[in-house]
Amino acid sequence: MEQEAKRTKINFGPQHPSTHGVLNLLVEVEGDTVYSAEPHIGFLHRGFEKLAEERRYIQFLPALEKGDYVAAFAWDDLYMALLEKALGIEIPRRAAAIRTMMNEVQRIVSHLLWLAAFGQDLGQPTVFLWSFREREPFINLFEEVTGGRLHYYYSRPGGLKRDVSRDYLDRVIAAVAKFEERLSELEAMTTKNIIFQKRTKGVGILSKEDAMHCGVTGPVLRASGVGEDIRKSDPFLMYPHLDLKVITRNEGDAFARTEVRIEEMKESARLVKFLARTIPEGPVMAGPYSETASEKWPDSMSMASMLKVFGLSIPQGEWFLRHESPRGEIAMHLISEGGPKPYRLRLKSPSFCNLYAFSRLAKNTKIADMVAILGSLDLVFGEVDR
Amino acid sequence: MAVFDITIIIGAVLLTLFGGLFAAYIGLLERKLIGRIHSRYGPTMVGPYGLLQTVADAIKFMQKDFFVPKRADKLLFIVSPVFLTFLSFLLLSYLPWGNFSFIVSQYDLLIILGIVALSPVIILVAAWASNSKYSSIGGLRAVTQILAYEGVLFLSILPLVFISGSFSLAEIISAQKNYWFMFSEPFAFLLFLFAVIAITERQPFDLPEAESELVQGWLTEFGGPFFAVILLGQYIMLYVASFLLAALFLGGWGGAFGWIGFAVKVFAGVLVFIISRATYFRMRLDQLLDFSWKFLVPLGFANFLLSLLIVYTSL
Amino acid sequence: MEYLKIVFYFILSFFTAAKNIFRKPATIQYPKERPKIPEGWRGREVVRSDTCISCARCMFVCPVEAIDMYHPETGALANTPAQIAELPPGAVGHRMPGVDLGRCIFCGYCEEICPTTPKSIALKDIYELATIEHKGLRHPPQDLSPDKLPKEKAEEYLAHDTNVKAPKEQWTRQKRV
Repeated sequence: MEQEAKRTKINFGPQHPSTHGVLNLLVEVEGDTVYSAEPHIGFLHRGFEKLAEERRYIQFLPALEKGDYVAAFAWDDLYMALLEKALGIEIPRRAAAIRTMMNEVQRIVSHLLWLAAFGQDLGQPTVFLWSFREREPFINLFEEVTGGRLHYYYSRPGGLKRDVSRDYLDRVIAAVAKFEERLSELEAMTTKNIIFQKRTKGVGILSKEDAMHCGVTGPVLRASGVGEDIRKSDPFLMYPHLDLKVITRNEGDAFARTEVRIEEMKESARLVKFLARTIPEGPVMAGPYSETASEKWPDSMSMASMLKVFGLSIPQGEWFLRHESPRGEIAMHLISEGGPKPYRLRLKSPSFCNLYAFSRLAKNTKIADMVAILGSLDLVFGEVDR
Repeated sequence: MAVFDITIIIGAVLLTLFGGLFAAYIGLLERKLIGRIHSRYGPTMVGPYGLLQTVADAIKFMQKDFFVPKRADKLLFIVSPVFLTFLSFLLLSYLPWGNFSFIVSQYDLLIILGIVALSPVIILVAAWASNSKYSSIGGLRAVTQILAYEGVLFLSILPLVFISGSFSLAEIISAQKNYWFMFSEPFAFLLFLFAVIAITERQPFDLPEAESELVQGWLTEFGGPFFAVILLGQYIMLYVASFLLAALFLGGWGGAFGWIGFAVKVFAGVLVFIISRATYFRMRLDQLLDFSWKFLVPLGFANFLLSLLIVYTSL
Repeated sequence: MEYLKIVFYFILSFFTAAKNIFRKPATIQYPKERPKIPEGWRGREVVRSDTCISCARCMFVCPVEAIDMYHPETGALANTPAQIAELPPGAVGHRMPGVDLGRCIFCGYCEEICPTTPKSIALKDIYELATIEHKGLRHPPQDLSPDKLPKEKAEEYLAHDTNVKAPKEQWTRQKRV
């Protein structure tokens, strides 16, 4: 059929049947083979960095969490850590431990969502629904302490908004233990299943040099053989005191990325159990914005006076901080000229850089493979477009 | 000159009704069972426990627009889905029940396979009649897949034919008196399973049909009533496939279990197909074809030769 | 040996999927069953007229400018000094916050910054927020008052306010002048 012999450029439109978000791929296709795929982004651009300039520091936090809506706590934590660095506040150990534990729970939750979307792309709605079922206990735990399931607004400059009880920590440990059993079921369905392996092995191989040249971070980088994890190389919060295993694989294909993420989930589960057992006692907030004195506010739900935090003002200077989110390296650069609003707040998201690798990986593949590659990179478009 | 006995006509009507109802309720069973596998309920709102859901769906499909694309070949477009479903119902009439079947023949298994082999032609006609680029590509892919697995289907059935000595289903069933063919010919069993799933275009082999990447494949242009008819045909094929599975490999209605046992076996076959739909990822088309030509067909030949050897050296 | 493992896991995934048929589904049949909402969940705001002191801090802290101060009797907006100047004398102290649910992101900052005990604006577990028209989402303070809720819910909110740990003698109540 002569229709097949022509190369045509088609649009994989901004609305995808898979849950990746809004991405327009300009794909040069001939029959079943993709010759090049050019991503066009910007459909979800909401102007975060401009918004930051128009809002006070605490008012920007809700906006920031809506950037990466899958791993919101990682950004929450990063932003507050940056403000604490700028103000010179040292958070109490209990707050650091709780934040670390929440970070790791967020990692499990985010990787489960990724697995759901990836399974859906490869044609299997079962994995999608099971992963969401596994997320439920963790999201319910978040809901109890922060009040929201997907957006938390939990950190404050100097610590956390609310304390957790011993009973809550016991429930976290129970939920994680149950999750570890169910994870073996998910594994039997995916990584150990021959059809999944055939769909993802050898697909989208990113070599070590290419990975470093493109600037990818996170599980994508670790699956290509580079053992770079910011939790180990540039540690923050309680990570210096935890022995974290950096999980790498050498093949660099979609299967390696899947394996890295599943192993990371197991590692996070182990860390959460350890942290939940050993959280030190103490205050949950420190520094000038905490107000625990009962003579003034006998009833406050928060240990900080929101009025003081509202008036937070950062002296003149420039600060940079990077953390590790489930997707890779997140970083923020703050330039302040004194005053309650920043002069410039620059957000760096890992999905943006991983997307660059996609256009290299999608040359001369089949359409079905291209979808698998896009899924294995774990892109969240709220982060890409900001 | 055919004799149109009144019993034959009543029987035919009953069979059609049975086939239709079965297809409808198998569809509902599939949705509820897959829902339970996914840890959710299937349809529950329409009727008690969702039992009237298929009726609602049928009404919904039938009241949709009877839409033929402008440049499509009108006659072929309307006739091809109907003919496809007609083929499925024709298959039903060949399936024997004990010694009774509507069309009695010594070679009924062969005729069944022949009718199944006609379906790629009709799919191609349907795809071509749609006059759309995506349909034609999808149609070609569907046909390639079905052709690749028909060889596997034949190869899986040949050893049984040689062992039992006849193409007639009733005789194959009576040849399973001592042990079911599932145990004595395990490779044939596996080949048959794969072949049947690929031919009825169900997961994990449903790439031509459920292309979430591009469009719906050869079914794209068929909307509303046509789609309902095609869906009916596909569920009838599912029934035929389970029937053949139970009859050829699980001992049919012979032996100690009798008719009730046979119904249970057909149901088990249906369950296998439904659960495997929810379990396995979709294979890519070239992997599918590789699997068939490079692995299953040689395995089929080897199995056939081995069975021949065993049969002729033990006789 | 590898092949055996492949076949084993292939069959195992089939039975893993089949095992789930016997588990209780994770669905909550929504209108008949409701999910369990934990304490402190950030739902829709409830505004109490008996404690509000019209300081308008909630309006200033809102990150999305969803709160407007209204004059309760006339329903006029009273955000900016120009609008306040148009109010009758002394009405500044009677203003109450109304929330635009189309803008509200349910962050809870208005509740946190509210200086009264018990809080005059508090986020409760109200989540059925649909209205028929878009402009119906801009709720004036009367819509958000506890009287508009079913009686048991209102009593529950007023009596067991989640924020209040202090005994009743220490509650601040501002009288209207």
